[in-house]
Amino acid sequence: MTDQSFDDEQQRYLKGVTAGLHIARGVPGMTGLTAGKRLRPDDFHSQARIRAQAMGGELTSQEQAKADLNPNDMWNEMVSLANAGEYPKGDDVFLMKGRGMFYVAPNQDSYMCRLRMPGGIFSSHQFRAVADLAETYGGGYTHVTTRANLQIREIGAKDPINVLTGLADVGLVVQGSGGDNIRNITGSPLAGIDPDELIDVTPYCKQMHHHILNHRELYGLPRKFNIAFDGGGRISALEGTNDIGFSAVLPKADGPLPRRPYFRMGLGGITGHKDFARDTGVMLKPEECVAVAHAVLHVFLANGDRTSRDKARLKYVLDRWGFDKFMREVQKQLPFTLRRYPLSRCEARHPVEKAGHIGIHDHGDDKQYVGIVLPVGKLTIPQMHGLADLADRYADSKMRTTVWQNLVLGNVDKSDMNALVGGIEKLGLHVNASPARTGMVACTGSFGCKFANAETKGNALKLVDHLEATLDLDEPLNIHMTGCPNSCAQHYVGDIGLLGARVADPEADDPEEADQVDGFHVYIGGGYESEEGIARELATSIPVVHLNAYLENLLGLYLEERHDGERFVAFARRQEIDDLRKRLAERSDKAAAAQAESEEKAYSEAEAQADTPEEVKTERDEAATDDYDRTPKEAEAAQDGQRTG
Amino acid sequence: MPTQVDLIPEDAPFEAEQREWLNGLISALAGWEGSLGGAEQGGGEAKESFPWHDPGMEMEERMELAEGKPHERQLMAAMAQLDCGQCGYLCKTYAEAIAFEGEDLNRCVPGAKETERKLKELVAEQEAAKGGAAEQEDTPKPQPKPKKKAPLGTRDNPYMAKLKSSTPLNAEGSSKDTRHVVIDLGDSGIEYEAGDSMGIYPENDPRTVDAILADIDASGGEKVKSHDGENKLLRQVLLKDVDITKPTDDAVSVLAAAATDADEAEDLRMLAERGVEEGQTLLEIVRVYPSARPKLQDLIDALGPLQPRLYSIASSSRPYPKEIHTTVAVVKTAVYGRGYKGVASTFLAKRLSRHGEVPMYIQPTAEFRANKDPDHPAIMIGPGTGIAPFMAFLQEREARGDAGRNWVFFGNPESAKDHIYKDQLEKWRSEGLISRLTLAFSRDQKEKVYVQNRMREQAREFWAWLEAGAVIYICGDAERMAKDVDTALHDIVMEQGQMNEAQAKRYVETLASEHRYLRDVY
Repeated sequence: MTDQSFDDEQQRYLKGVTAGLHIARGVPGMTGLTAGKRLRPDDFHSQARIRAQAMGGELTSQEQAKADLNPNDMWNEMVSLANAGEYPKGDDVFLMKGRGMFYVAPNQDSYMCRLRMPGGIFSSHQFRAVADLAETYGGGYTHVTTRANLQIREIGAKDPINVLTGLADVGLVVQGSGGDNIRNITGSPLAGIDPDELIDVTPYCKQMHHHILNHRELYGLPRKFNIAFDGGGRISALEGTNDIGFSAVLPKADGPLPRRPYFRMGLGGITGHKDFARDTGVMLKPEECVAVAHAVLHVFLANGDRTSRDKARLKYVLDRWGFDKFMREVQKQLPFTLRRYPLSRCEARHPVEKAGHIGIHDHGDDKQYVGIVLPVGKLTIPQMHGLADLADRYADSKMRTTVWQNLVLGNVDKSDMNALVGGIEKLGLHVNASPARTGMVACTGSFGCKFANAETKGNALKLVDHLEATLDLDEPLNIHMTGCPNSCAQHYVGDIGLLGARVADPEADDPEEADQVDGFHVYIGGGYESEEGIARELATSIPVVHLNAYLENLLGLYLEERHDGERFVAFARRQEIDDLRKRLAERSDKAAAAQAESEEKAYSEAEAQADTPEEVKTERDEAATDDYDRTPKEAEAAQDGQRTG
Repeated sequence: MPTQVDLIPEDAPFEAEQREWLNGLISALAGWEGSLGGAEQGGGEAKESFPWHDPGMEMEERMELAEGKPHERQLMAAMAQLDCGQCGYLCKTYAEAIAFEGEDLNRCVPGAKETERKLKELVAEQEAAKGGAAEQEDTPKPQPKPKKKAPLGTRDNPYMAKLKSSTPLNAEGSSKDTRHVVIDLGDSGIEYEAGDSMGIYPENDPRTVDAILADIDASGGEKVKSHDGENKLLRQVLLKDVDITKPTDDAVSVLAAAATDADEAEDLRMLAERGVEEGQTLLEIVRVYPSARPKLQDLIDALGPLQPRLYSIASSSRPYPKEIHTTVAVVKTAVYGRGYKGVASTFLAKRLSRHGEVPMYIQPTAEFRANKDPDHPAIMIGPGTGIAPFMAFLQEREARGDAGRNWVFFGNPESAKDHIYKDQLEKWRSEGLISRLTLAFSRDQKEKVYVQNRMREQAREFWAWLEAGAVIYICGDAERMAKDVDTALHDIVMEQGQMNEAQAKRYVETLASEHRYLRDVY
């Protein structure tokens, strides 16, 4: 060795190396010298974070929070908060979501608890238990979500532990239902009873669910993660909008694979980001799915972006690497070679029934299922108990929630169906609805979510009421109303997608000084499965007071111009957007003129007959302001009244 | 010593020598600390590799690869590398049996003379190296371990089965004579599985034996001690116990030593050094060298044992629990102006009468089996008698009700005469058990077309099957067919998978390591 001593710069450098070694010592595998040592679950994440920092990046605050305290280890903190009757602050708000508890201030000063139930199929006793918890500790209602799941709202500061342990008592473990975790595993809601399905996805949803619960390293991912299994039957699981979507397929007759159902794997779906999961070319035996998902998750957790929340989801790893490289990395994680098979050699998916989740349908000999309309997913406690009782008496005790925010009861003897429907109607619920009501999906909205730009569920109901009153829609129609670009209600896959926005109040006296009010951007022509496609933007910033009229105009034009039996999605896709906008404007003007003319006529007639013209004017003005200004609370009260009446 | 890693990057503020020193220091530190940090997984010893274990490789290359390896590994490299089991071992275990248990050197049937000579050479070298210091020349070589009475139907305890039938499969006028031979297992209780082979202890042709006896002026009634230590009649020993088709170098030496004619003695000595040619039988030699008449016992001692022959079983025990079917090509080669007949094939197909007895045993295969996964696609490439195990696999998969698709490649000279098992294969195709049946009849057209040409023609579909997880099975000729198919396979992978040569090689190696590229070649 040299006899020269190290200069200052060299000494500083060596200090850095020593510090680095200290960090690396705590994390096996980092120096390349300790390979072969078994990594502890948290090491995978530590490695990923060190690598991100080594490349000059700065961890997001959420990453730092996860590094400092794994949400799986925060039981003490949660108990202390509950005992003190306090809500979490700062990073703890984010971390507690990993335990299924969302502190939803400022919208509500309470927790929302999101459950998880693989495949969305609850048993009736679990349903009752959830109802009781919602009654005792929550707001006396639950919501069915767009991931075929249940949420309890308005849980007080003292009760999160009560709710979590109460859920655990009936086998509902909600760990990871929020935060940077793998959300509820969704599946086809008719799994096991769908005569058209290729694969009953129930066991695979369940395996995946328990695999996650038992792998600590599958928590605290770079970002949230969705996995769905579609069995290929009548109702879609909307798997194309998931990070991993497994879709059942049947190989065509003339190829190397037998005519047994396999799953194909799609990756990288997020509708909020205009991306469907893309097919990976991989063909999996059902029993291989969990292992492959595990491999995908490991590649993701090692390589997902930990320095930017906007670029942290799986899609961005795929964008950065391309599918080929990504799948090579996945292959490296697997002890067997992935089977590759061209999609063109698989049979096309059985067509989905757009309205298959609503109303009465046959399945098998003498059996039927019934899809119950839950207006934007809401269920009261008596309704939950009533439905659980009906499921025990007439169905198979399974409460099948769907991504359409409704509920299906199956395995009903045909002879019992009348009695069952009678029971459902007694609860103030319905099994039939207009196409607009059937296909209406809405997220929580600003009523209970701080991200939302607009109130959704109430506006959605008013929109449905309006469309039912003014138009005679006959074909299935999906309207997806979502409060913000995170797109919980997946506006990009609706026939019509409505994305919440803050817009200038159109009724302000001075447009320069207008307040911001709820409004929506309008997208058309989205679809899923055989109609898969991303919706295109038609209009922006429609204030909520104009929304119903705007959609009435749009759907009216569709009814006039459509080809024989043409569905809205097909109509929308063949439109030149600019031209459509022009025709809509013309039609709207014409209608306004006609309206004005007839009203003028009526007005003058009325005026001629009236004793006091002032009265007439008042009536007309009231009609013009319609019911846009009803508050959501009032709208819901009206709904509740109708249901319990 | 820990691996040195470049922890100090080149652009760090150090001179090259400083950097080296620091890298060494820090690697040592980190490695030392690392090893304290937790239990090592797996242990460090690298898995031993056997780079010479490739039947396509020439002896010279194999020996080079084994140079400097332990004695038993060098012995292994001298084997034919087919793991065919005819010696009663695998290549590796046979080599170990020679090295540690003094097993015979002449048991490698496919390696034949070449292997036997190399083994002798290696053993001699080893003994010379050992015995150099001590004069232990008379140390008896370790005796083979006394074996327990083996179960019935194994190599050391063959079952005397009856021939049930032997049916010609080729049409008249064919250049080939292939037989469908059915052996009756009776109530022996012997079990077998599709993919196994059947070992047959044949008898030498009695006409040849009698001709030798006449030439050496023996009656055949002389008592000699056979290889198993029992005293038997000479004719019986020549018929059943010794190999008269390929005389060993020792036997030729014995003849040379006994030759009274000096020229003959000289010729025979040279022949003993060089080894006999294919088809140069004992009869041939005793005729050409009439002065070479050794003592009968010396000659018998020097001749090699009559080895059993292996045939791929062409039936599944599911439909045929008490029968074994096999496909036998009767070997007839014209050498030295005289017909040379395969001992075992002519014995089975021609000389053995119906209900005649044949000593047989089951030679189980290590991995040449219909895959356990009932859904896996299978590509079966079996021209000529190579079709035999696939008849078994197809029966097996039919009986199991496997859903997996089967693609069969078959080839032979002429479709009109050599389309063996045509009706059965067509029936399976029409029933869907065979989803693709690709035929290559080399002499049906001007250009010779073989199975590997058909593979290339259907490269796209072949690739689709591979990617869908197909298992490739190859059975038949090792020298040419298996090599050509292997080349075609690599080319298809390169072309269809858009890979370079090295990537394609890795791809095929992965197939092999996953037991998806299986060969039963001879």
